[in-house]
Amino acid sequence: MSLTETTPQTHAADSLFRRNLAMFAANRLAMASAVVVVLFVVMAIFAPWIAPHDPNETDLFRRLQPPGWAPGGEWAYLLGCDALGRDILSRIIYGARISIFIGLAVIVVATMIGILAGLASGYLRGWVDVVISRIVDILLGFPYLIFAIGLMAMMGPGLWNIILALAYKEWVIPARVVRGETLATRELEYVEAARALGASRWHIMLREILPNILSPVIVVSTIRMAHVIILEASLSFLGLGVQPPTASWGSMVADGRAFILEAWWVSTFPGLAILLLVLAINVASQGLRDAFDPRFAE
Amino acid sequence: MTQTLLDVRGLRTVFETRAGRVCAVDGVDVTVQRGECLGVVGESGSGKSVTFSSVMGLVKSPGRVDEGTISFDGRDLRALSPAEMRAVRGRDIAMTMQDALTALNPALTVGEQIAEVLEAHDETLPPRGAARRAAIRAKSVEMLGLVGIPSAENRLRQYPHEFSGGMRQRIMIAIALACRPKLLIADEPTTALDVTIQAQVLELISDIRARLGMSVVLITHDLGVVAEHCDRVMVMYAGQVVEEGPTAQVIGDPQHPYTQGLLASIPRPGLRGQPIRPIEGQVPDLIGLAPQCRFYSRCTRRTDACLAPVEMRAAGPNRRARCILIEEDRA
Repeated sequence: MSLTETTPQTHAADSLFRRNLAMFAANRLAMASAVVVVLFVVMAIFAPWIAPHDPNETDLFRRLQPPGWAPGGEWAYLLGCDALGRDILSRIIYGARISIFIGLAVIVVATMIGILAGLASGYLRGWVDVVISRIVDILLGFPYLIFAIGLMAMMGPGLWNIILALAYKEWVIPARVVRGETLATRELEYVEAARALGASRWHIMLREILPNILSPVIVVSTIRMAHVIILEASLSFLGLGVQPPTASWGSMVADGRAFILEAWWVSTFPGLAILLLVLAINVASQGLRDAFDPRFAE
Repeated sequence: MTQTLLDVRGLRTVFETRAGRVCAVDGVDVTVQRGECLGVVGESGSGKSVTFSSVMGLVKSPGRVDEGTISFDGRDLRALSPAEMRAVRGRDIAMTMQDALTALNPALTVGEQIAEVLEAHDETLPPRGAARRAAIRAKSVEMLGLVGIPSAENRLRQYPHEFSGGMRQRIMIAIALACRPKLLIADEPTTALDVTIQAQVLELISDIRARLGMSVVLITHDLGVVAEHCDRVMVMYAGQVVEEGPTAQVIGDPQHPYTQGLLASIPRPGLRGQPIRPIEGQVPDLIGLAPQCRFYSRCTRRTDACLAPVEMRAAGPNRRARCILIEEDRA
């Protein structure tokens, strides 16, 4: 601690959050992973400008064309073409949109539901807690993928249905974290002080407790996002996800399955894309946890 | 308008625990006049904090107010709905918590925390928009100025961890006073602070009380604090009031053996070299109390007559104590 830090004016806006952020930035591996994640996001957003070809344009003369560097390949089709002659690189770039959008949407929906449910059961206690906790226990008892497959079979495929099917169970993860943190925080003196000043229950839950428990929730949610992306790919692989011709990494892997011996590139490159994005999210979120979780502070 | 601001009669607050029913507050009467400072003294577990949590309607489960009337400014607080009670808390009665170091929300700036109380209770603010924000800001700066925090404009943007303990206690007082309550309940406002800061904070409370004309209840276990700052004092023991009266009289001529023991156990310069005389024994377990004088086991002047329930007796003009040694006719 330097001397300047003891004078309050010099770091007026130096909140705990900013200090944690600085700690995250100092972790090089996590930072590099965060950059990879950002690159994927940029790729997804600007897909029409980045992709060299139309992802859905078929060309049977290019059926199963090898990658650019292999014999018979063309540099214009860097990662080769699939069974319908579509450019694999372009499809991966467009596929990032589906993976990231579904991952984000599921996490945002699930985290919001989880925060409300967790706050309600942790702060209000009583029958609210009993009902919510039992629902959480029941949902935790189901194997995730089978649960999602069942829901997709019931609702039918489609983008919004995937998001619903995954969020339907995903919210229990943040809900449990929020409930635990709320139980600890509700007993703290400043919550009592807020009650003594006439604060309403909603005010205490959203204004007093929530800002103090947000860090672990953000960390858990980012870790879970990688999980959701894999689940989406699994559903798409099984044909229950986004429907053709829309490019999705999971369905691209499935497409190449029949030709895996003669045309390895059709399944491998989308598989690598899943691997790279999930790995990057995992490493980055570990870095987030190290920086934001006080138990790792020392 | 009557002179009495707070009038509590026969308050009984019980906690249902697995070991049995604990009667933390048993038949307590409290009156606070307008503009008065009442000191409440007692050791840990004597029921002083629970008494005033009950007044605020803040007793936590498994506790509840069992009996008694709580009348504040002519209203029966026990009859109010939770929403009405919320409007009273913070606006009419404010309370500062024991530990200033943990009673501020670490995730919000000081400015936000003051603004919250104003948002909740202040009806004189403009309804919305920039004018409202400016008014809240002006009031916040004014409150920080009132409690003696310099360069308030800048400090509103800071978080609690950027303030020292004494400063945080001042901020808590500023938040409590933001809506100009009629009654401030200060629950051990100085326990977490060092002695010089203690004196400053107590001076501050006395000063603001005089300026705003509010009443103050000072909960403490420090008789020295009471002697300096309170008009009247109430001594509590094992959930009951054992003595009350004007501060100078109670401290100068204590009637109850417990009050006498408390005063004798304070080290004083005049008694240098003599051993401090503690009160022997321990506070009785509040579960399954026998219907006798609660101080019986520790009292040096106990008699068999003390084994019957002891009521409060008048012990002079405006004075009462719960001891059979007091001659009823002195009143």
